[in-house]
Amino acid sequence: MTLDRLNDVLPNEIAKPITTVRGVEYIRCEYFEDGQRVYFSILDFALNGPQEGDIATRKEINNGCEHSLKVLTKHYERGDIIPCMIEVELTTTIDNQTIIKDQKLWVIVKDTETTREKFRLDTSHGVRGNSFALVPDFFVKRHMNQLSTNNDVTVAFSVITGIPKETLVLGDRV
Amino acid sequence: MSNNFLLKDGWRTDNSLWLLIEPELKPSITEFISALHLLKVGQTSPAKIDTWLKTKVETFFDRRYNAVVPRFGRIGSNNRLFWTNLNDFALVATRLISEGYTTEEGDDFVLGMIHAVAEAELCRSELYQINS
Repeated sequence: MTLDRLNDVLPNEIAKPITTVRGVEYIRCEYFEDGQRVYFSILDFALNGPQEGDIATRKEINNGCEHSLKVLTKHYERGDIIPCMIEVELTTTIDNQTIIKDQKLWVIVKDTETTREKFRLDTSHGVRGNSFALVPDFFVKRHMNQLSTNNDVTVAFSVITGIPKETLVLGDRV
Repeated sequence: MSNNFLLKDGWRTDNSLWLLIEPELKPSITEFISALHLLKVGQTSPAKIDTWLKTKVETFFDRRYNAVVPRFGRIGSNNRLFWTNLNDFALVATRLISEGYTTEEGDDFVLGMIHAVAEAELCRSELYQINS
């Protein structure tokens, strides 16, 4: 629900952080200055973010970097309506110089059999572990997804979505 | 070039590795990564890269401790610039992999290096907590 719509529904009230309308709970969103949505979480991005084939872009004001994200494929476990992982492609340029071009990133949404096997995911340590949710493909190919989040691909995703690059997959989420 | 090396030539002068990295950081990051450039397969393992680094780039480490602890040095020194900008180091190091400057064995060592540096910084934080 947009802020305009919320104002239509509740014309005399300042919108609260959490509003319930006809039994449905709405939580206030956060936005970048350029109007783009800051996603709450990986799950929020999976459900409310761009669909397969869609492209999202953002430009960083402080350094002029232009990032673009294309959603390639959402992968589902059988019978599940929530994707367990998403393939996205990222490109970053600055002053017509390419930093990364069409680099694939895996967005791990849930701790499932598939993601555990593919990414050697271990969520047993909870927030003390290194089960990163954003894994560049070049790490996956080398079975090294539990290492540094300081790479251009993860940074680009984080800039576009507002999701911190160190976001973890936690096993106790439903 | 022998296949025994972990890094391929050309990374020092490839501008794409240094995009968005402050120019004053380049010498210290280059010096640190260069240690790996001289390493050959079999000389050490990725798991022992921390102690190996301590002997090869010894000015970056505090030799008063047995543990691998960073040495910051004076303000403006290469050491201090390096240890206070570890995100940039990790960025350049991962670019080595994504830009294809590492051999298959080199990947393990580069990531081992990133891990070792992060662990050393953590060790320093713990030491300061104990000593304060």
